[in-house]
Amino acid sequence: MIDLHGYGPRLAEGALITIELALLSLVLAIVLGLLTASAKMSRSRVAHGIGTLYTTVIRGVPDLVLMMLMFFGGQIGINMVTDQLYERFGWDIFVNVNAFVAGVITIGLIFGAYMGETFRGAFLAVDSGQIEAGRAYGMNHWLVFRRIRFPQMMRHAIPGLSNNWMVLLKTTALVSVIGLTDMVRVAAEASKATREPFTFMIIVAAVYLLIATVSEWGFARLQKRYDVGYREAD
Amino acid sequence: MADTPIPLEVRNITKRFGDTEVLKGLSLKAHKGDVITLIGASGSGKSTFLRCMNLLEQPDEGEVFVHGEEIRFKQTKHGREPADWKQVVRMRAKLSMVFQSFNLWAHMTLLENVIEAPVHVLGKPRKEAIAHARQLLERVGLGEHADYYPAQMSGGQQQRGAIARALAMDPEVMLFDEPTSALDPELVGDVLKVMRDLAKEGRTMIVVTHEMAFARDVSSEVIYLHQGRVEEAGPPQDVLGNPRSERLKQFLAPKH
Repeated sequence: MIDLHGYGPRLAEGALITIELALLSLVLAIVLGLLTASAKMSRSRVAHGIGTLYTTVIRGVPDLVLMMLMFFGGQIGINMVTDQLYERFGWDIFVNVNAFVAGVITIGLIFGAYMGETFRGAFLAVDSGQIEAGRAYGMNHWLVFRRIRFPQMMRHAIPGLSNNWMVLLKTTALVSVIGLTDMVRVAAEASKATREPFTFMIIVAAVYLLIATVSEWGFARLQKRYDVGYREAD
Repeated sequence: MADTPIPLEVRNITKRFGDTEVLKGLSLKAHKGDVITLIGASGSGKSTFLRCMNLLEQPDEGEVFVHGEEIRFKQTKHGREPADWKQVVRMRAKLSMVFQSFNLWAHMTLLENVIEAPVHVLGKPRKEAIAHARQLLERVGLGEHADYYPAQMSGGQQQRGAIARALAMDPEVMLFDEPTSALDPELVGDVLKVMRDLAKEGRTMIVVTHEMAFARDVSSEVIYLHQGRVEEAGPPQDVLGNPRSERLKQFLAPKH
């Protein structure tokens, strides 16, 4: 049996943080991705410009740099705002950037840009006749989206979505840099204290692999669900 | 019956795509029970005209009345657009369209396709919609196919399913956009038979078609379009039986 030197519970807590962080970031990334895709497909030039700026900036700057910018730079920015509020209105507010929240926002922001491209491609792959039929039958914009565009788009989006999720999952390891005690940070501390890095890192690797495997299975099921009606045609 | 509103009327519709004017002031009035067929060579504007009637295309000029209600338009920087999309959504629910490429929703079974708009647009109770849908599927000869997905059916079956979907809305007017043009010849007959039955029971229909036999036997009025204008219009026995315009004569001449 592997001797964890009492780090077992902390590792488990760290793994939980990793999973929470990844899932919340995924939700944020999907929301941002859908918004970005709509913005980039919109005929409004402003919306299109904002969408393009967002994806260009995010995809052109390293994840780690963005994360540190958000965590350290974000704190300075918030302090400036709260200082102003105190000086002008006498409001005494103190906001501390929480490493978990900063992590979710940063990872969500980063992957929102990638998801945006995935969703945009997937939306464009939906046959326009399907959408037109919805409009011709009196569906409003939202109903067409909910009943036709979204379910048909998902079929094309899932491979990209699943790919993004795998990369996102591994990107969560970066949050240990900004002081969040995720699984990687616990393992790094334990490695130092016990001088048994292999023991702890192999466990971390195995947990990531386990999450990835379960995800693959989940995405395969999801794909099957959204492929309904198409299998015979392919 | 003089005071029942006319199901569909359009006046002086014009439409341009870029610099090309594809519709040059077209009007049409569909009274209850009318079957109006639009014929013409490809590029004559007949499909675009039809698509202007339910505003899948926005006419640059002209008026659209559905059941006596005029659709309001406004000018935007993207051109002329309906002023009130809610009004458009409401009027579209009264005009069912049957498309050349069927456009049954691929991720739904045939039954789900047929009840989709009645349930989600008209707010019909699901149970009621399903019962009605089953009757309609029976009627178009697809009683056994309720649980099939579109990809599992032939083109002819899909188009008959699409007609059932259109009927499920209990529409004031049915718009057919070349409903048989994408079908293999041996499948055309079943679809035309369903359409003939609809005409017989007094449905108001506007049909863009290349099926001259259908136009001759079923229509109350035939409109021949040429380059975005009405070249000739009237009862089928006149327009098809005794065409005056040279172009129409050529168009109708058997092709070798």
